[in-house]
Amino acid sequence: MPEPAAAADAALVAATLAGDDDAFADLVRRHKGRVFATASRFARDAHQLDDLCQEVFLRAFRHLAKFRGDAPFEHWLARVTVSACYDLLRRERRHRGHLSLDEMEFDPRDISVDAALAAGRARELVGWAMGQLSAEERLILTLLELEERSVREIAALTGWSESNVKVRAFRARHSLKKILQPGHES
Amino acid sequence: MNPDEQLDALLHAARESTADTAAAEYAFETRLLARLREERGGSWFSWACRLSPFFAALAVAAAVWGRAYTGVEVDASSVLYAVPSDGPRALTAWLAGDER
Repeated sequence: MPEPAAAADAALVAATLAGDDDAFADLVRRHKGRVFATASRFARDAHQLDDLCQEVFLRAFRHLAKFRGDAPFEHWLARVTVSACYDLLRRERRHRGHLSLDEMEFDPRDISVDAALAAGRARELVGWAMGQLSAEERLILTLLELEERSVREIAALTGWSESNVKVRAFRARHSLKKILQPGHES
Repeated sequence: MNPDEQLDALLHAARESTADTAAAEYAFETRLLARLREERGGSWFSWACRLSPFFAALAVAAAVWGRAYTGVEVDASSVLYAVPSDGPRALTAWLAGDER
């Protein structure tokens, strides 16, 4: 027997597919918190975050008929979210750096990891360093280290094999360490 | 701390610092549904834009049909009547309606 939340999601999906926009609004209201939390790890600013979350839910709406209901709706939506975030990272590949140096209150190249930790600027420094990575590396590290997803979950979300995820995560971590080393030229 | 420990500490601190998305989430459904309706093309303006080539083609076809089948042409002789050989007097008479 499905859980009440899953049953409610299934009913809202069915109503949306039948043309009820209010049902879709309810579905969005139930799940937007999780989508915003994940997307905020990838978006550069509030405007991009709004665009990204709209893209996630628009994709979900367009492909809702493909949701078969054999897994919870939030798992399906998480895959849609990760796919949209990955597409954003690939589009932004030319925009190296999560934040440009002009946008940051300090130059990350002049600050050590210890100093960033002491100053409470870990998020900014990690954002800047992650911006130097490839889209794949950044996606893996964000999901693994910041979202604390398991390797199996990441494999399910990305469609990559578990061993592939492990290898990419190892390489991404190595790259991030190199970027954060003192004297590294970005 | 060695580099691995430093990285772990940094990632841990970044993980703990979550962004406040409450402002961005406010009225999100309303904005999303508005965009959805716009993409579906439910507005009169978008329909008008989409149909404008059709109306333009219809106007051209009507003009061509009118020209080809109604035979409405300007009669050159009635226009040139105003410029006969005896000049202004005939023109004045024509304008006054004495000669038609």
